[in-house]
Amino acid sequence: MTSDILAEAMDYIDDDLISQAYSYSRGRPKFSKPLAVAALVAVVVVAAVAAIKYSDAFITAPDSGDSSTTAEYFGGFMPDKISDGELEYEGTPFTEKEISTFVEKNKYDLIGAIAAEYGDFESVYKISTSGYSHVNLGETNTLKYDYVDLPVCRDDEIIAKITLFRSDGGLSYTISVRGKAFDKYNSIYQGNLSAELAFFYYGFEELIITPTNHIYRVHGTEETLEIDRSMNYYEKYATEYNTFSYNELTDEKKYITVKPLPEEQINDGSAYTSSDIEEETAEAPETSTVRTVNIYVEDLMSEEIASVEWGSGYDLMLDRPFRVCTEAQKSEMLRFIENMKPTEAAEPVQYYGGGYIVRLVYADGTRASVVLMGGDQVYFETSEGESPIYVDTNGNASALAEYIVSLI
Amino acid sequence: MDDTSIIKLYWERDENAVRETAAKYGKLCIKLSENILNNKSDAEECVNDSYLTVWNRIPDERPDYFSAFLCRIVKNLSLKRLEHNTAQKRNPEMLVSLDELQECLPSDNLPEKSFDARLLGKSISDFLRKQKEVDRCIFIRRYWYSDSVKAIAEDLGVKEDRISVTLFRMRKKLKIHLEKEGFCL
Repeated sequence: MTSDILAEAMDYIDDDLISQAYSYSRGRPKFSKPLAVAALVAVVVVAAVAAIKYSDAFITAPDSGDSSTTAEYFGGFMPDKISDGELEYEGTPFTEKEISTFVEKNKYDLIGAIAAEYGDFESVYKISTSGYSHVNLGETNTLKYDYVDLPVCRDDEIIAKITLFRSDGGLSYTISVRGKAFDKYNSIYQGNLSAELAFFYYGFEELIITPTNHIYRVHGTEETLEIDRSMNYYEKYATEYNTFSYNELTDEKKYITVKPLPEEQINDGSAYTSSDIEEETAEAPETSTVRTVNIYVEDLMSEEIASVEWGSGYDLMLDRPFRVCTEAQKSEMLRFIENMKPTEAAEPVQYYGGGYIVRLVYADGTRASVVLMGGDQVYFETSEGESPIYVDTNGNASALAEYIVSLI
Repeated sequence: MDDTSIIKLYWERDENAVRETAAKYGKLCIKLSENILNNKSDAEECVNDSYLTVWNRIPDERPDYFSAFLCRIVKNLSLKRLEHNTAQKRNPEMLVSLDELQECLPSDNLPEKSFDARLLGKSISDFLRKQKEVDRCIFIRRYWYSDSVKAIAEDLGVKEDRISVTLFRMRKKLKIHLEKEGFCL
């Protein structure tokens, strides 16, 4: 087959397809995924949240809460336009006392997880107790009081972020570690040491805006960010609740210092002091070996799927780095995959139009039906329900599916 | 202005038709032509020639998909211009994109008469219609518009390797599809 024939054949592709590709690019549909995908986000979040109740691999507090508000908080889909209307408010503001009390009560859990990720149980970590919320930009510009991000610092560098949020009358949290986002955070902070930076979500994008209205994009380059730059977002929408200065991490009234407990103590579970966690752990099925995976494994897998990211669902759907990522989790997942074995079924792997269906047994004999949906999602199906480990709409699930199939 | 209105201007022989076409599709046409020619001034000339061609063809034609109609003209004129240019001036992106796609197709030792480009094109269209919209668009941008992986990634706001993985996966699927359709050994 020569390139000429190929070029000629490509020229016979239908007009509507060619036209659509152009419209698609112009419309930047990555930010306007179909409603079905939006629904899927909600489903995934619900499933992920449900799954953490029997999983200790997901670093989050119990009662992680209302999935719809969680998804909403992280911005959702790209708004068509940004209103220039007055700022609206939603939820109840966190007080520094409320945050301090929570952090103090859970500090060993929080820092234990982060220390495990970095394999550093010797350093002293600082957790901000002031933090910041975000204003979600869109048709309405809303300050979401019910969520607050608390930067975590080690050796003057931001190395993690705890998102504390209200849920079902209580508080829950997730932790973000690693990823290029933290390089960007540090770079922005270092360039604006004393500035009160304002934090926004614009659809998928987290934006940090300086008092001079300079817009930083946490994920990606500023040059390709499409946003109406005629408006001064800082002037209009920066409040005491969505601003944060790096200097706050040098004010000892605004952070709590924590030295992690020894690693062994964390691993044997004795470090968990929260009564909620103890209660929740007691409810977890003892026999469950299927974990909800929340891993970023760029360097673990084959080159072919180097870009595959693993997640608990909503982070992945929103194309962000994962909020939780521990070395222990990486090892766990890798071990999990490598130990999977086909069932006695005649055709453990079945290929169909959309991908694979694979039925496997976990190494310890606990039966787990693993369903791999190429192109869309990969999830485990157990007697307790479905646990998505990977969902996206960009095709990477297929690569993951193919990789897992190749191990069989 | 919507495409129907632009076409109406052509039918009315209103010179604003060209102005509106350039305003709406000028950037795309230049980009498409540049992808082929790797030369901005050549691309601009081709695009201007394309507007003239469109002016001459409408009427009598009334395209259902004006952007595709226009882009086909731009592409054809750019390819013709490419023939007159030296090999060194060719944009490697276009050649690379075709090379990538070749792996989906039958081996070189098959007689070329085995292939009807029109049927092959139709089969590829059929395949693309079964794919997710985002994948389909990535594929067409890469292999029809000859956009670079980097450009597509930037435009869609995703990592380059994500685009590469998507293309890799689609090429494999396309190969299976074409085999089923009898295009491959």
